[in-house]
Amino acid sequence: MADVDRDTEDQQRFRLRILGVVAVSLVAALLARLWYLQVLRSEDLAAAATANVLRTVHEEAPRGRIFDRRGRLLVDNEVIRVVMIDRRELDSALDDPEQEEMLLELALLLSESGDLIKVSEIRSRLADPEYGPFELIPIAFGIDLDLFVYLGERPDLFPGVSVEQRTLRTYPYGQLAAHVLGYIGSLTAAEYEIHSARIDESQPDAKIYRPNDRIGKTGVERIFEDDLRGIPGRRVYEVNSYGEVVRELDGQSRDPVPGNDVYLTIDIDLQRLVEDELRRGLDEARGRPKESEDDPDPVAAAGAAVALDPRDGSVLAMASYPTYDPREFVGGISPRLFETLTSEQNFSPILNRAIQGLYPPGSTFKLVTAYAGLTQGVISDGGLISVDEFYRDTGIYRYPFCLEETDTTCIFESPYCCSRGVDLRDAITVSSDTYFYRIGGEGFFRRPEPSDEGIQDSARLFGFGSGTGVLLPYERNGVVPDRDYFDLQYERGVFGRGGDQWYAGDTINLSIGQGDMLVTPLQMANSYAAVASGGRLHQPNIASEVVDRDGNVIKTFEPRVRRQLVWTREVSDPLLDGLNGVTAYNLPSPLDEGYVIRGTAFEAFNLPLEGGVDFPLERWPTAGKTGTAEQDDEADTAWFVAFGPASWPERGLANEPEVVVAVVLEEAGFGGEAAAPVVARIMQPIASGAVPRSWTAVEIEACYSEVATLAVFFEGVRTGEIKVDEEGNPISEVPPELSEKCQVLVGGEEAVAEQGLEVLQR
Amino acid sequence: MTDRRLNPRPEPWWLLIDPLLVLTVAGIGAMGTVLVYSSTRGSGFDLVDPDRTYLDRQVIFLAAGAVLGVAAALVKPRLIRRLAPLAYGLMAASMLTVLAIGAEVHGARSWFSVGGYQFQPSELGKVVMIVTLALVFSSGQGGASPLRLGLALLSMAPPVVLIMLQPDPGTALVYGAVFVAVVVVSGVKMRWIALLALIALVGGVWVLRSDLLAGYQQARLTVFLFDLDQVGAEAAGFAYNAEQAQIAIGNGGLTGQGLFEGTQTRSNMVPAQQTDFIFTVAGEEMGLRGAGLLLGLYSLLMYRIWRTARNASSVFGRLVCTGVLAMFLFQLFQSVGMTMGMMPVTGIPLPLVSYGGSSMFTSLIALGLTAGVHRRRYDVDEMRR
Repeated sequence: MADVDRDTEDQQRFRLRILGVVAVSLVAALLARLWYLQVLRSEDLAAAATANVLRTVHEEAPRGRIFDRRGRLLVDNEVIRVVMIDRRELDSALDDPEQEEMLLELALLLSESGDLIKVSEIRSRLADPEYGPFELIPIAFGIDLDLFVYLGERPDLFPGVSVEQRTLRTYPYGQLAAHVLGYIGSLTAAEYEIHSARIDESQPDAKIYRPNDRIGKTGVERIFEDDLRGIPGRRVYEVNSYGEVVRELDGQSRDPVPGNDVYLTIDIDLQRLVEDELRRGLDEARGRPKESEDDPDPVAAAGAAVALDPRDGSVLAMASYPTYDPREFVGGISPRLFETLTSEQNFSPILNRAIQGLYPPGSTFKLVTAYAGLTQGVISDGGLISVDEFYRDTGIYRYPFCLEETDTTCIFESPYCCSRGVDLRDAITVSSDTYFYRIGGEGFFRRPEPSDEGIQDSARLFGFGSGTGVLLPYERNGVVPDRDYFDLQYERGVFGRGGDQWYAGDTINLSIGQGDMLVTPLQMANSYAAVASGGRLHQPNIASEVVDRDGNVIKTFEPRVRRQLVWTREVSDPLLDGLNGVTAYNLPSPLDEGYVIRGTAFEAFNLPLEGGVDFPLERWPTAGKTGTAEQDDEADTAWFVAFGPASWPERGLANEPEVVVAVVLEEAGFGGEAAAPVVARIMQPIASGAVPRSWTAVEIEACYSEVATLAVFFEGVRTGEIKVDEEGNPISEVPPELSEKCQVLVGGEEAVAEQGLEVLQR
Repeated sequence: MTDRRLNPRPEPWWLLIDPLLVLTVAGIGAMGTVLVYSSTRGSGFDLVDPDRTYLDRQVIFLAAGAVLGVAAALVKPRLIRRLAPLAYGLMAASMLTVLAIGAEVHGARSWFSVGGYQFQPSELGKVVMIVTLALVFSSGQGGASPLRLGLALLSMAPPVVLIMLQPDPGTALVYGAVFVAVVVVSGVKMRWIALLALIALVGGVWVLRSDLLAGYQQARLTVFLFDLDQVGAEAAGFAYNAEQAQIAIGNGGLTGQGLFEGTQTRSNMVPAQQTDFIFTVAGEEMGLRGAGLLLGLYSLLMYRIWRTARNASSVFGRLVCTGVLAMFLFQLFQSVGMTMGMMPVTGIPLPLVSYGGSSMFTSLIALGLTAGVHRRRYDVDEMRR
């Protein structure tokens, strides 16, 4: 028995060992699998776990603000509460009658909170094809806080409806400087790709873009995008398997960081002045009678003006007309409005003509020709002509060879002048075409080394033919015509001849700024700024500083000198004297008995009765140059460029100019007549240090209501409907005027709007 | 074999218990309690106090189970044998009753629900069945004859059929595992075992192809065995559970997310995480270190049971330990393997860890019986049996 028992026991122990082996293998399998999951695949699975339970909600950061040079706020943000509807969620959650019921409830709530809206309006907005299928459609802006909280907390009652706080751009000065500031809009698909590729998302402070984010499209908003854009915030929530928020992960959530503020070199007061005068100049040009019936109409629908500080090249004002209202872009712009703003029939208001408009420079270019003549030995002792040598300007210039290999005499006629004797100074002052024809033609073809590139070289030295480097997008280069340019245009089929057929006539045409020469107003202003600042050509700056919200300066923009021109007294004195003469000279010709040499902008700066101003030239000499570029079948392009207070070597005056102003008016007539008064009216308050304060949009609105009240009052007095005071005297019949502070002045005394109202109520 | 064996009381009392067994049980129980708390305390953030209901109950279950276990260790084998038929009868009766008046949970009628507590007869039935099988193969002469095998099969039939009627195939599989282990260790000739295996194989295939399994059970098995694409949405649901469980464990990595910090756990991505899927919590929050420690403790525990079986002074004791070992091994492998995608999704608690009184009592009583066998490992009276 014992043996049997022992056998059984041995067998059982053996079998137990088998069971043990099975157990060991199973546990080993578990451990192996655990190792596989927790070590080898841990990374994938942890990522899956994160995606499982963490929901990230992104918050757009407020954009940085934009200030002018004196710290006045030009672009700000406001937080606005928006109600939006997700069409897909709405359609999946509710059938049609339910939707109708819910939308009615929503419309009632919105209307009760002050935003009157009908269900049909919501419906039509939901059907708007402008929105993509996945886009949230805004149906109400600026709802009050109570409704915001209510709608946010009751997604069960309003499926598909969501609320969001958006920061929108506001423009305290309204339309002012619209082209400089630019506008923002929704990221396009292409922009999204570009910026997503550019940005390293792993950086904690990456300014990640998301579809539907807004981005600077033009102007400062575009070029300072990286500064202005804040660091988007995010809220990371942990959700459960039902999608309900369990908690917020504070460690991973981050408040949005507002973008940095940009301080511009723009002076908003001057900007206002420049914009107003530009518009006024165009208005006046349109109203000016034509000299003859055959002349083309002065359309005068567009123009540009630039004011620079020649001392450091900063842009003080930059205006382009027609302009637009950046407020219309806030919250998205309709394609129709955009079409209107970009259409050529409306003269493309979106275009910043100061840097994107290309104009033939006309006589303003004579500065370059004179500089070329002076520095390349054409005008000098032993040159073709000396500075003080008189040349008889008969209005006609004959050049022996127009086309090479022919000996036909070419005749160049100046449309504006008559017979007189001029030297270099006078030639600039009276804008003698034939004088410069001669320098251009004979000078550059006959000087010791004949060259047809002399004027072009000078033009490039003054910065023409290439962008100025101002920090604004889409700046154009302009054109300095030469043989290469002819070749290029010939290849493109634009021109009928190539660079090998560059003729003397082309150089002669170029010498007075006609032909194919094209410049931007900023280039023009900048070239004269070089004259004003002793031959230093700057790269204009539009911004001075970038500052973060804590006031730390992130970037500063120092003046950038692009090059120093040859600026000996032999070169500078005749130029400055000639340019001063443009505004000031009005003396009998030393050569021609009874003939008066008068600067081309004399009227604008001296004769108020002839559309000019009484400018303090004695105290604040202003040097300038008119330009009248002829266009086929169109009225002339009118130019005037000036700087002051200018040095005037002839009179022994040395000044440091503070400002350069260039104005161009399209299809507007003579430079001296149309453009010079605009500059004179801009320069006059600068010269007297009294540029009027620019009003904000809010102030203007308040002022309008004040004026309207007064207007009603005076209209009442005029018609006798309003009784006058006890003595029966009318209070005043002088029309009211506005003082600088929007006080209404009646006969020089301040009137208060309430008085008008009291009288009205009597 | 040795002189010591002839001495009925050779050791002081404290040598009668297996300290390693007690320590591992305590360790596993403690870890389980923490895991249950972690998986049931709720999100527990901000103003909401953590939910302690499950924690408190689990502690009570542990304490009560420990008392039952000690009692089981102290009961004399003779009494156990005498009470076995009564227990078997009670088990069969309660399993019948539960089919009639039991509460239906997740499509299975396995529970009595009394005053907020649930009781699952098929759990305690495991112990009864272990004892019954051990009794079948150890009583009388001849040991493991084919006749005994037939008798064992016969005793298995009522509880297994009743459990399949609930239906609760997972628990039925535990019974099966216990049966196989006890039969193998009992010394039944290999040819009979081979025959039995063949019958089981044919029967299994037949069951799979017939309509005996409910649709969802088939789906679970199919998901496990075949490609996801070929099965329906219902199956995808189970695959989802299995996948979330693996994500949770993978998310734990080497060191774990930290206790109460598992995101999968806290957001309830894994179903039944305080019971059948509790190993995911261990994996996510304690990582490879903690989960490995838990598996290590189980290994040690099972080694002690195995050792007790080997050193048992009676066939009855040895077979009881074998049954207990098989029960632990199978439940461990199924419950842990399921969370790691090694086994199909079938609800079986992880012994000593999963929340629940029935399971806890069953495990501790089973371990108590094992401790009793250990205590009598030199008992000459027992050897004679």
